[in-house]
Amino acid sequence: MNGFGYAVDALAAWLAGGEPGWIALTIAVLAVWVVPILLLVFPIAALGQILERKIAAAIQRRVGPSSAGLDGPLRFGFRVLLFFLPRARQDRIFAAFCNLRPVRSLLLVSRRLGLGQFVADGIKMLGKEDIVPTGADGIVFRLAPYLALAGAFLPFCVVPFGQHLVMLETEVAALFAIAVSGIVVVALKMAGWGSGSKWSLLGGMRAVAQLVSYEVPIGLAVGGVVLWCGTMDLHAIVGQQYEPGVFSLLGWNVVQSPFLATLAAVFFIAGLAECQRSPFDMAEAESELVSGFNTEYSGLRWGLFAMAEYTEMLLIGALLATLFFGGYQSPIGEEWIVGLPVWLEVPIHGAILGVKVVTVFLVMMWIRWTLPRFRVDQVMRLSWLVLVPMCLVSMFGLAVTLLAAGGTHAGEAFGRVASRPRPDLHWLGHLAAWAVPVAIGACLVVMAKKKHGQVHPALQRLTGGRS
Amino acid sequence: MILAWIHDVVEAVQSCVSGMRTTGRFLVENLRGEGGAMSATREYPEQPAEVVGDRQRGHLVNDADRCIVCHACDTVCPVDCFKMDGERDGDNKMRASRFDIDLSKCIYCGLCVRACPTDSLSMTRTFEMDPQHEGKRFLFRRNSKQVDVRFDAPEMERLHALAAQPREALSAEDRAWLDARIDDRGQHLIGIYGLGFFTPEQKAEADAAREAKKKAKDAAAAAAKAKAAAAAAAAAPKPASVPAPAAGATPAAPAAPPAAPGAPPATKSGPDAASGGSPTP
Amino acid sequence: MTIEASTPSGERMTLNMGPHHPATHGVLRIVVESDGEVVATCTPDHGYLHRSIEKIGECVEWPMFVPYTDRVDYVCAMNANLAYCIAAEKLLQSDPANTFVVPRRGECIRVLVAELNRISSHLVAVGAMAMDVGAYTPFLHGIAQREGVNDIFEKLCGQRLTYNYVTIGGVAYDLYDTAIDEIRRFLDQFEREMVRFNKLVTTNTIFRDRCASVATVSAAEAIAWGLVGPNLRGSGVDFDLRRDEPYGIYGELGVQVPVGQAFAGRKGSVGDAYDRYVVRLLEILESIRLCRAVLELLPPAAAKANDPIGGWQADVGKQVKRPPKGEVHVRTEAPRGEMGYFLVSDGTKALFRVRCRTGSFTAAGIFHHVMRGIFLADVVAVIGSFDIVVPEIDR
Ligand code: SF4
Ligand code: SF4
Repeated sequence: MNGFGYAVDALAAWLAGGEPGWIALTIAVLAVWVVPILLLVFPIAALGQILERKIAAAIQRRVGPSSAGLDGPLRFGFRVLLFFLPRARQDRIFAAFCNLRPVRSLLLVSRRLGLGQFVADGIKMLGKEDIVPTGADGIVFRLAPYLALAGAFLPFCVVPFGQHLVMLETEVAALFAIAVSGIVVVALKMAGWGSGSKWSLLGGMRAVAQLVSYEVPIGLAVGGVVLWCGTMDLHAIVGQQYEPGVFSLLGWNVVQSPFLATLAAVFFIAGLAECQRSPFDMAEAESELVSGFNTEYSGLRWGLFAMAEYTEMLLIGALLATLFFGGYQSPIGEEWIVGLPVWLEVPIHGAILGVKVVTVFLVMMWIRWTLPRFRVDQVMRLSWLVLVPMCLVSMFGLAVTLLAAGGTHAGEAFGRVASRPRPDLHWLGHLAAWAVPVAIGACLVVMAKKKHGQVHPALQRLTGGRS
Repeated sequence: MILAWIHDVVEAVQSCVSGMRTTGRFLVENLRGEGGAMSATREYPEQPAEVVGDRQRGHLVNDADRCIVCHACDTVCPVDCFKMDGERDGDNKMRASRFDIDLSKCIYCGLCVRACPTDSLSMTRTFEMDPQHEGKRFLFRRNSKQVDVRFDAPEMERLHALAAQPREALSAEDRAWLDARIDDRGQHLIGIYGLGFFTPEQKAEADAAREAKKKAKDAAAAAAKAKAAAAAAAAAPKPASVPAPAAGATPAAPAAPPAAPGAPPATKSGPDAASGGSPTP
Repeated sequence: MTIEASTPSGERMTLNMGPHHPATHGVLRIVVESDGEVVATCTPDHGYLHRSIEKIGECVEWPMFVPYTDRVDYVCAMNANLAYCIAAEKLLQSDPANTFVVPRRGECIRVLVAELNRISSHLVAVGAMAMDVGAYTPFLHGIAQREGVNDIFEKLCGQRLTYNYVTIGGVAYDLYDTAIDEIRRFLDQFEREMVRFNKLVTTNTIFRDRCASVATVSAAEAIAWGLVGPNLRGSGVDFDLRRDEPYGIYGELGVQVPVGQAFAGRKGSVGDAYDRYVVRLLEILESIRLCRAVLELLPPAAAKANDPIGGWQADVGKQVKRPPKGEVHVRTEAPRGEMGYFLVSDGTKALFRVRCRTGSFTAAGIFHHVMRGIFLADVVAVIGSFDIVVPEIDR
């Protein structure tokens, strides 16, 4: 084992025909990880863009992308496949193929859904002129999008996609993910500064201020999980959420304690802020800063920024799922998957994680098309006065819960504890762990509502009597 | 203070959730096409815009038979769209020998229609100005310098007919004829509204022709009579392109726009028809 | 939230917002000097949409100016038509020889379309403000609802934006056959839809907190700066021309006037952006009520459906042989506040002087005052809250 996961080891061993050297290892890592991740995440992020546009359209009673179907890519595919035939023949075969009834209706549907849009967008982006403004700081300006993309991609190294599918098994995986995604801060600052535009500069400043302050709640939320699980190894954290039986859902961190649920919410909100999504999209606030830090970008570089944003959304989804929602484990029992051969188990686990990630992704879009944008000071206040206190209270609560359960795991946090069981609470203990904080919270909420909850009658009238 | 804090948080969560419920409902409604909540927008060129009501103020059309060249419309038009000449026909009734409406100036206010004493002027439901709409090409590029030369009716018909066909299908002769009447950008037919075909020489030619015509008219009333008769004759086979210039402009439109309100069934293509007796390029 | 702009070095950044900025509602240009995120000074720069409409008014005949009033404020063209026509009627009637009166049905229809147009104009205002604050969905839903009004207007007069419907002495057409039903149906459906709109954005805490206590204009300031309409009422001044100087049949309708009352609760103050916003929403509700009331009052149709009611072409033009000399100033309550027309006639066919007074103009005048010390992000929200329509400023 060298920490690159089962698949890499196997491939490297096969390549080297024995103990793998570093060349075999590199090739194996590239083959197993980098290329598939790029090949997977890019299209997923691109498809995400279509999905977002379609969802936005549906929410706003519009149509959305509706013309670009898969005809073009398909024709291209035929061209490539039938390269040995003359063009006219190719076209005739293609036409015949398209005229098959199922194909035709599929193409029609793809056109209605605008599925080809991302191909078209991609080609458009590649074809656009790459403009570097006169006042821009060339190197910084050019480098920024790649850094942003790197910052969004690198944390995927430590996300476990399946039992045998972790690129980098390390004890400090959680820390690594947070730390590496910090590169994005630098990238955005570079973009803002390097563009030589005031709008970009303001956007960059906002981005930095926002990202840096939201690292704190994210860190604290992850810290809470680490406190609970006693490890920073994401794979171990996933392993700890294993619950035998059909109700494996009950093993997930988010149902362990209301404090962990709170942390999950905090993590999600802070994650939204980390990927600059609405309502935290101040850095590219369209109606204020034109387009913020990427105002001056065009073509491929702009595309890379967009890609980085979507990749980061996927990343936040993956981390959220890993930390709080059982990672790649299915909610309806794990045994039936674990027993399967590797070639079946890997895609199933991957797909389960994918479903969780996409769900988070969808919720993010849903939020984006619902909520207005925060103001700069409100974003800061939300981070420091709401999320951080929530995290602290939750961590305190978690610690108390752990103490009550008879023991603390914090001391062992850095140990490799993949097989260590979850803090073992009796079902009564679980009940208490939920009931007590919820009861206290509910009391406080009721009191607060009583004291401050009056709504202006005019507003009540506007919302149809009830507020 | 803590209570206020808690209240703020709870309220924020509540309001966000209620907002998300609303958008969620929008989403579901839209996906299911419920309550008329299907998309409120239209994919415009493919799905033509819907014209509601029968008072649509679209492109103007003049029924040249009824027009008495009283200039009421000209007077009331805030932007001076009209250019008209009249001549007396056999029974000493004023007829428009020329009636140009510069639709590129028109603000579609409808004042002229309200002013017209004979109801010869009316507004159609056509408002389409996209030259490429539905593959039918017609002019909408024209400024006030580009005036005065018009096609006569048979030429207009030929123009409409050719414009409706794909270019490849045209014979070489037709294509050449058409090309001579297409503006330099190659797409927009000039003059479908009877608005002219313009090069400076042609304008000069047309001006000269009109002058000559006026003189001729002064000289010989009989000649004028004959000319009016010829104009009527030229206009007579016109109903092929009824009912409105709109229909003329989009000759192969799947459903020809309905007739202009108040226009008789055999209305001529307003300005075009009115220009029947005028010189041709 | 107001922060004094202060930098030790006094360094400031000049930002040029507009004329082609996504959030400046047309072609408004604002030169912002900012200290980082905090606005130090903010100077609106007008004139990008100037079309000499007032001068044109001196060149065209009386009734020919009506289409131009559409363009003074194309978001509420009916109200603009109405204001000019009332002024022209008043001037014509100043000569006792001109005996025409606007028929009662015409008066009712005028109020009806004015209120419908107020609804559609306020929908743009609140929707655009929500969009400036970053919520895109409400804007599109507002616009979708506005299409309902536009459809009614298109059936009524053939156009969706520049109506040229109200004429001197009446209206251009009677209501079409199904109009009353359709308007009722629209109002019912619209009222329900507004509840969802408000749940989506008005009561949203993010939106509320963004607007609360931003660009607060006290009542005294509002009067001093000449704010009108919802902007004035948002500051708590209880003044509405429809009630206080009623024209048309407004006197019989008992207009209720909403005023700003610190709707944002303990975080807000009277006269902040949120108050102006909520006042607009409440005015929409009031307009719905007024429309319904007018439909009750509407006298039965006398003429054929397509005939004009009153109006220059129908009979006023025949009665008026020669326009009188004199001058008149008429104020009406348009969605953006007082829309006044000052007409001077020298007895010829064309007016000697036309002057319009519009709400956005004074609202833009107060920008540099209220924008000092707010956040850059709030500049657009404040523009939205004053409901600036640029052609109204420039004319
Ligand atoms: S509709 Fe108005 S602008 Fe157009 S020609 Fe008639 S009067 Fe002139
Ligand atoms: S169209 Fe009507 S108003 Fe115009 S000249 Fe002819 S008859 Fe007179």
